[in-house]
Amino acid sequence: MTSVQHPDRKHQPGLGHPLKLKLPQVESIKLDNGLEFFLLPDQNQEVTRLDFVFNAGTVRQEKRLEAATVNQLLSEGTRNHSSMEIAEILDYHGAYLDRFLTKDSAGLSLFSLTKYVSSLLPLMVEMVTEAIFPEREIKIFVDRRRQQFLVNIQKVDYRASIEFNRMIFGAKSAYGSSLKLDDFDKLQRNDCLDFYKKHYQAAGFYGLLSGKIDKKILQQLNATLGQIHQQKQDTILLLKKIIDPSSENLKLIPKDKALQSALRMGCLTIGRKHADYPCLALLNTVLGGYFGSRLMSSIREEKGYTYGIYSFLQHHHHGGFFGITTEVNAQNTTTALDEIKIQIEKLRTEKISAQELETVKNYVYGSYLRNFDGTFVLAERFLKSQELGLDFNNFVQTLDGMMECTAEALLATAQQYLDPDKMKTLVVGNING
Amino acid sequence: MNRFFLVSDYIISNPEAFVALQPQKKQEEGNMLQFDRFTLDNGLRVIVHREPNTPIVAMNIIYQVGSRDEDYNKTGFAHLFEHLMFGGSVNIPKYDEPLQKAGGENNAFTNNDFTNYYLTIPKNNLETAFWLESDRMLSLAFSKKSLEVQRQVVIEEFKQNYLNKPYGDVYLLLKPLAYTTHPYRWNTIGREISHIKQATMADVKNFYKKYYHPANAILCVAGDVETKNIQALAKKWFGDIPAGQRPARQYPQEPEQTQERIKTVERDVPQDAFYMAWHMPKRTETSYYTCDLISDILSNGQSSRLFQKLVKEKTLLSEVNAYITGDLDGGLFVITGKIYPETSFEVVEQFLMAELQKLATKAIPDNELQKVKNKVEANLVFSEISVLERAMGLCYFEMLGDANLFGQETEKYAQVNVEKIKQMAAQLFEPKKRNLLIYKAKPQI
Repeated sequence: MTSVQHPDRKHQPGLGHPLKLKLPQVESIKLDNGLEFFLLPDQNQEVTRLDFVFNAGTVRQEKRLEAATVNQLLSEGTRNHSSMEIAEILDYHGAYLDRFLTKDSAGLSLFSLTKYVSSLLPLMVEMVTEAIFPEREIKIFVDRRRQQFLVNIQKVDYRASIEFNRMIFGAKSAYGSSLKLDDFDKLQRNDCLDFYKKHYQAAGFYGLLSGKIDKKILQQLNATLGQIHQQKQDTILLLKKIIDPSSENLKLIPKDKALQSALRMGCLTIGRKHADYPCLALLNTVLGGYFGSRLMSSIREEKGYTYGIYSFLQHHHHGGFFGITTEVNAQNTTTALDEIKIQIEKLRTEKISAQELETVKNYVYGSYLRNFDGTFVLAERFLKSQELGLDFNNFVQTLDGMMECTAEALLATAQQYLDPDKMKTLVVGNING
Repeated sequence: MNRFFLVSDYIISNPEAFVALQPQKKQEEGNMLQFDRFTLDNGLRVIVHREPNTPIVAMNIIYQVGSRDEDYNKTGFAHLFEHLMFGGSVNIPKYDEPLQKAGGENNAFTNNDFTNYYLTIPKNNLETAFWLESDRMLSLAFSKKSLEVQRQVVIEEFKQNYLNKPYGDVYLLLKPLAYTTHPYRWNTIGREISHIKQATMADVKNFYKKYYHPANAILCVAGDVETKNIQALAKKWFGDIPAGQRPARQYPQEPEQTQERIKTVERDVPQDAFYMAWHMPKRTETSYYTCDLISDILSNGQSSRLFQKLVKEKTLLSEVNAYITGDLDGGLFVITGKIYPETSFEVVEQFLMAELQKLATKAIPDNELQKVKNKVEANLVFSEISVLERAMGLCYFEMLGDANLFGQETEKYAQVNVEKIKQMAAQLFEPKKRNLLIYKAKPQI
């Protein structure tokens, strides 16, 4: 206590061996009618999450806004309960209802204290089997959404997301289709009823229970959902092409007086099962996937053009893309675009140093430990793996592949998959600064 | 105000998708969070919380300085300074790189009252966190380049979040309307960009000397750790940092408001909006919890009063929200809404004020009070949670006076009763104490 110890501050303390990433075994049970329920138990807590997942993503809709409206309106009235009654029951139990909607799937999630799950389950079942879509509730929802859309569309980043989605997948394709203002005037109640019948009531779906799982809940599930009529296969054909990119490679959308420009660059890319995917994922991290990335170091930390810049790989069931996203000081719009290209070009011509490679691998390892820690986080990942048609263990294989990737392989991956000439570029904002 | 934000890929390419708040994991049996606590000779307060079921350790540090400690003519500085804390310390040229090499991740935020730095790291690399955090508590590198670049980054942050977004400047307008005297009258980002431009290296050094030392900091480590090991590590890395003097923090207090204040602005936005703000009790007073429950009665959940009345029944508003800001020295109770183009603020106001009047004159039904209490209970369970959230919570309540308070929140809410709600509502929503910002959509030409 008396002598003052002076530690070695010049050198980083030694690092431990990477901890092994272990994913839990996901159990699965079948209800009487064949409905599948996955289980991710964690008995150390008093909370439970229940998900129902449907093949009811935006890709299935004939009119835009259909999928979102139906997903949201599940809780706005059933044969036995009004919208207000449903809200009262959920709020009284301190429970949250979440919906999620992607291009491929739609879900309804309940987050609740374990002690209340059993009382809330009948209500959840009603939403899935007996929602009635009152005209008035549809109007309220659509009107609110229209106002949100009008606000969002003024933001350069939202505008860029919508436009870039169109450019990448093709404006007329099922994946590239994005909301327009007049969509809010076109949706009819009958559209919702049809969509619900086809994609929620008649088609197959699956469930996931995570957190504390009471055996009684499983019996209760079987007594209710296990007895409804279920088609096993979703046989509905899609009417449109899923992906049909345009030839347009550059788009500038002027927004006068914008103080910042939103930039997007990217291209379609390989799927997660592809042998080169782990190296591409690591390469993406090097370029723009973490705070120490090349793009963040150069465009934020070196030049101060932006509050943040990221690159990402985004995957859906039928395809995915690589993208770069940022908002930059309007005056530096073109300089920033040039700098992004310089950084990509560097990865295509110079091998990454051993030190940077080690840093990025260690970072990735730590981030996997973080992102697979805790039962509800695991539930999120599991849902994503289902959507992509991947085995849950694919995440571990990808991580292993990333750890084995060499500097040479990264260089080859950059040459093959990150070609600025094949990328689409979008600028929303003040192009001339 | 975060040092940086992470983009969710969910949002990037699914404009039709819902962006929902996702409660995260974990809760132990019972509500009491176990922890150990000790203070180093130089005054650094250290809290240790053990959670064996995770490979990740969280380290959180609060420095007791926020934007309320700034000079009126040099605002936004505490936040700019937070950025500079990553620009290299006396022995370590870059903060981020070694942390990433150890598989760690960090972020930070500044608010009116304090500045919070946090990181998560695999448990077997925890010593790197001690090395990094102690070095920047010992001394910064005071790099000129870092000041110049981060000044630019913060200016871009100012534009991105406050100027280049519809309704982005609301708080820049509302706070100086609601506060006339207290330093809460400016925002953490600052009053104006010119203040960020004018910050000097001398300002940086003075600020560091005054606020960034062991006696003005609280450290918490949470994860699969043993207190005696943390004690040894804390002594080794932080023990030889010279003690400083904890600065006295005294502020001009806001005089009682005696007259309503109204401000109207016109902006290029799609619909009119309004923001009402009333002064509310300090964070440490018991009536704080009453106010929080009142805000839940009004707008937490779809069955809440304002949502049902104004969004569903009368369809006057597309959004409504009532919330409290929770500032330590006395925050604001805010009610805000976005008005449909076919209607007007005057119509909305009539129904809204009637709802507030009802709260102040009629006892709330027992089951409605129970409902908001149940919601709070579930909320606390869901938010108490990852080791990082626990580490943040323990530091925060230690700053309020005692980390044990963290486990007593549910009990404090439970003590609110029907009568207290009624009294508080009457006191809170006095018409002459209202601050009103009317944010009008510029007519389209």
